[in-house]
Amino acid sequence: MATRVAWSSLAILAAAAVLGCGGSARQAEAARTVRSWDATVRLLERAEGSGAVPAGFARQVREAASQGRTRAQARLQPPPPRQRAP
Amino acid sequence: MSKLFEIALGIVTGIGGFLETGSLATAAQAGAAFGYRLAWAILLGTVCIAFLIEMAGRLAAVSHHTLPDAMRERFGITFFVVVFAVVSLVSFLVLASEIGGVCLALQFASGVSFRWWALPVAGLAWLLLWKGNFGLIEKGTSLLGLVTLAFVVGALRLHPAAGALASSLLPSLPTHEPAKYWFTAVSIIGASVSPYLFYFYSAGAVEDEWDVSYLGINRLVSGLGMGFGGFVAVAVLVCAALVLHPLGIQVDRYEQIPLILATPLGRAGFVLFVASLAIACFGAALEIGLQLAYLAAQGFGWRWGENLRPREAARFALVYTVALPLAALVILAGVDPLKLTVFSMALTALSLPITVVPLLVLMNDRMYLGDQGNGWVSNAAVLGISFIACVVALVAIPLQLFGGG
Repeated sequence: MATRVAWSSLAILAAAAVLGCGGSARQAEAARTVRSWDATVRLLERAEGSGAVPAGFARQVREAASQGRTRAQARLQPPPPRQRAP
Repeated sequence: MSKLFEIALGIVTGIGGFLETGSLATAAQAGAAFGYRLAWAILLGTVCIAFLIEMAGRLAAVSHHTLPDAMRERFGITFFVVVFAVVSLVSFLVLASEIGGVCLALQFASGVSFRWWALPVAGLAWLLLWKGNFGLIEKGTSLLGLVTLAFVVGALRLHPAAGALASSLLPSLPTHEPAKYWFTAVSIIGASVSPYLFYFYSAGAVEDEWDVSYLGINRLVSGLGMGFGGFVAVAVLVCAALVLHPLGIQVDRYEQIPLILATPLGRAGFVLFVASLAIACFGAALEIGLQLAYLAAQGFGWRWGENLRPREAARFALVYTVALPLAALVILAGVDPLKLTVFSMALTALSLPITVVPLLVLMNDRMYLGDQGNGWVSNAAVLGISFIACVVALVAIPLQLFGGG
């Protein structure tokens, strides 16, 4: 019985550790994604300025950057506090 | 046709046919995220596929059996159905990814969303398979695929550090993001060792009526063709490593990848990227469509052959007639082509033991190969790489999906 309790506690701890690590790893990944899209837009501007890419394609990259940035920023926001039922 | 010309043509088609959406996307992701560090995964995948292609060709030349045909005969129909299901599923996902790749190239060129191109692209592929012959499909698209050599020119223009690149050809442990590192490594190996490549090659060898006199050609074509093809994939990784990695850009969408060629080569680089993506993916889509038909027809004993008229091999033609529009529907439904591609490649790595082990058993069976059976080097190399890739995929896929790393 005691062994079973010890094993289940270990399993809960491991799951909590994995979930905790997963949460912080996801936040770090989201921050990296935002920085990556900012850098993509800067590189695109350079390429567009030198005529390396057509305007139509530049629009597509900007749209992708805007969507990717918004999605990553949403993951960076802390979850809204729970409201108590009246 | 002289043997020398056949060798040259085989090598050229190997180079032109190597790059497709999987190898392009995974090499670009690897270069952007980890610089040169994952070049070893491309080398490992290339060595493995060169061995597998050579084996598939040797089996066809010596035994006059295609791979599915020999597999059903040697292991029975029940076992064949399992392999058939796994290879068909993986190939179908890769087919959808390739159609997605062509559609994205058309989106970059026209501004019209990739989803709208899915059915026209599948329709054009079907028309070519329906009306064309094996030579046109195999040689035509691969020769056009030589446009992918633009990545080698782009990489040379970026002046890569030869020493650092050479040292990255040896496997190394990750310095950051271990889950992403291993997931990308298995995706690269999966992209290089797609089963459609050696199933298609074995069917092609029988279509071209190879015999034992072709064994030398087969060895040269598989070794040099795949070797140079892998070199083009390394060039993609180098371009991404030198353009995107220093700026901290990770590849999350396909829209970022053309910049790796537009930066060193200007507008010509952009045009060459779009052409490379469209041609390479369209060629691969044709080959996978045919391979699905070959697999079913050869495995279940139907009449088959791309050089036959569709009405002479109706069930064979029916398979690609159904597979192409179904794969197009996946793209039409709005599935992200990059995510689909990378996931399909990781799944391919995971399925490697199922697709590769039966071939190895056949290659060691004297009933089929006589004294032309495998040596221990090819057995060990293919078995080792397949199992390592499968185990790493088993660990890395859940970590990447659920974010534990």
